[in-house]
Amino acid sequence: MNNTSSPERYHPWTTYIAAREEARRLGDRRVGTDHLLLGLLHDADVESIVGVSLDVARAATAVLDHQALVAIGIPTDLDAPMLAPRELPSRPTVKAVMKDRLRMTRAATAALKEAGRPMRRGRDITAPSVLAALLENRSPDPAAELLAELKVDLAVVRARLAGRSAA
Amino acid sequence: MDAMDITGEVNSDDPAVGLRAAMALHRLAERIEAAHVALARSNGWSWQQIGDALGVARQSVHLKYGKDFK
Repeated sequence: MNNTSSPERYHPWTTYIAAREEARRLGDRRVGTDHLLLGLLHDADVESIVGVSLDVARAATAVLDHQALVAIGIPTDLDAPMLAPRELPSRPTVKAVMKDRLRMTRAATAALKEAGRPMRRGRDITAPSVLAALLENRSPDPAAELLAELKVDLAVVRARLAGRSAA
Repeated sequence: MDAMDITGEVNSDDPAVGLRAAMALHRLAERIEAAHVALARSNGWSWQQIGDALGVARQSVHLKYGKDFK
């Protein structure tokens, strides 16, 4: 085993797998930027940077859906249980990634690619670097909409991210 | 996007809201389907019967749910 698969080291596949399970839980067939954001919030570090917990972000996703349905006149009590989550693998192996793969949207792919850029300069891609890439998206991007619903102050999050990378 | 705006005065002429609603319906449909495929399996339905009920091939339901609901 080389060090890219050691559990201590962050790998973007970890975020992909968590995001994929968030998409599946909701009943989505594609992994979008909103799922990436939810996937990142599986990481306690990211939770503290964003200042929002995974549960709160999941609830906000449901609120946005609910509001949109109400706006087009669909009864508000319409709901269905979330799909049962599958257990997340302890390691982001190729097998775990390929198993039950869901495709990513173009914006989600772009965010992961953007987060990977510093790697070419010899630095590691990290969960916060994926978060930083997501923050650049503007409404109506799904992650931007979710952050807005959560009333997250992007300037504060950027400052926390900058503080971390300076440390 | 402010929560009060949506529930208050808006309007399905905002594409952001309309598209979000369409996506929310897709999500709901998927979850309703999954819940009832599970129920059908536990009631002894065959994959063929479930496929017929959903108007899709037996293989496609089995591929989608076979791992989750034996």
